[in-house]
Amino acid sequence: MSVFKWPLIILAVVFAIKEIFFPLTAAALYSFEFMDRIHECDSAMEAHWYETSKKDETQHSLTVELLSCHEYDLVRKKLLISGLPEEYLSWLGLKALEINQRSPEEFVRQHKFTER
Amino acid sequence: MNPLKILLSIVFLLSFASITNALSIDEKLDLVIKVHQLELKQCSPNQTSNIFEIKAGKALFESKLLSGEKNISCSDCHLKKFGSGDGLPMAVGTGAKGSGYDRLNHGGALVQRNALSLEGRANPEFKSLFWDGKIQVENGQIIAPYGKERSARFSNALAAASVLPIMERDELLGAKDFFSTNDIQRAVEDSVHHERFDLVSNAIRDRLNKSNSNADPSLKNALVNANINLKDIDLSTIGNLLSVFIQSEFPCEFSRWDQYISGNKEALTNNEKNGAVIFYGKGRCASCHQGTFLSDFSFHSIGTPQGKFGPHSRTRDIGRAAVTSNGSDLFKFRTPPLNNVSKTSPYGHNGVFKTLTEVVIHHYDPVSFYLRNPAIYEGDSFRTGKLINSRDTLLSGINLRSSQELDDLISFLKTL
Repeated sequence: MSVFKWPLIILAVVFAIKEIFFPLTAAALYSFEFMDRIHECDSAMEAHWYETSKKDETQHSLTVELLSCHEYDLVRKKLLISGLPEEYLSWLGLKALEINQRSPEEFVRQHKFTER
Repeated sequence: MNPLKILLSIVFLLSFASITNALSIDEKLDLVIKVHQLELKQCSPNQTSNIFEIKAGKALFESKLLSGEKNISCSDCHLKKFGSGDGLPMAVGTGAKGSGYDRLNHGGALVQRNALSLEGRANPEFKSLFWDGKIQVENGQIIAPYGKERSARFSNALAAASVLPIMERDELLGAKDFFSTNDIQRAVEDSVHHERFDLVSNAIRDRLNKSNSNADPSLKNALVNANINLKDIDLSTIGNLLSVFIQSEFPCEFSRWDQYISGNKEALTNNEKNGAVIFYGKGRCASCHQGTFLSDFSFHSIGTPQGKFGPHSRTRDIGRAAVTSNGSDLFKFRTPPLNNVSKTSPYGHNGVFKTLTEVVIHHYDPVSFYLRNPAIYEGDSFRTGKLINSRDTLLSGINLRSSQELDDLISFLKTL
């Protein structure tokens, strides 16, 4: 039995690092920066949608701005690999867009009684 | 659980220098350079000239003989210490003395536009000169207010542009004065430009050829040494010589940004590099400030406050519209090239913006300038709507989000 003791301990420690320490550290260190990336990409996509039809001069600038979405994608994948669950990243995404794009009035509108 | 997978994940995580910087700033800029197809500017001289022509051009550039009152030369308003401008919001022409703000102390005539830099202006990429583009090159032909035949005598657009101040009343020609003894101004009277070209040419030729002339002998010698026949000299000869001198004295120079484009990744700091990404991306600056000299040489309005002075009625400056008579050109000005921009303050066609930060902010926020300058707002209050409505719709795409991004952008502009 003692033959398996140390390998099991090592495996347990590695498992704890991989499944608990890394995700929690990544969440603590990078959540806000990740939210910033989300907002950058969201702004770029919105600008691309609304400005594409406007003038040719902006096309190169729009392309450069959209590179932030590639960056967002890469960061997201790195955070997934670090063990953060997809649901947590989606929640951060929702939070980023809500913080940056909606007024407090819009936030609370759905929670107000319209009739009783 | 696959131990190998766990190990690889750990190694992968440890290899993140910064988990949120997926692309390094240099990788981003490589993409920017590819997307915008940025190239190093061509700074080799495009005009062939010999040393005698350059010396003759220098003598003309510094000669007060070209001015009606013999009291001002090109060199008074184009000084290297001010980035080849004059360091003033608006140029002060005939009658002024000294340099920089000292010129305001001698009662000189206000030219009512910001003096432009001369650096690199001999480059053929400069297809449009002056704030309103009154000198342009279209299909290889110089379009100038002197008429087709006279304009064709100039070797390039800069040559045609360099003689225009000689014909302008408040610049070199002389202020309008009933008792003036200024021979050139008397000859010109109220003539339009294409007549003025010949009248001013004749008057300058007379000055140079009079036997008892008090013309600067060194100017005469320089012209003769350059094989210029003083009996045939006209404004096109003068312009062509000025142009070769300007090319030699104010050449285009490679900036730190040019060095970066050519492969020196250490030429810029990280903040400057971030500023470059903003300039070519979310800042939308490159929509108009494009090409190697960072100008599309086209005409746009940013709704520059008019202030207390302007060459047109009611202290306005209607910009390009004064050249085209087209209502859609009201308040539009040529996109200023940005090479050497940090040295050419103040900014705007009337120098109303004291700093680079002020003028950059006005691109995305046309309100705060007025809040910070109530005296200018007072003068502009009845026309603010017109000015703001004239703004190019491209400006609405600017997506700056923080003062750090603004600072980075300004840092980048200082590398140009």
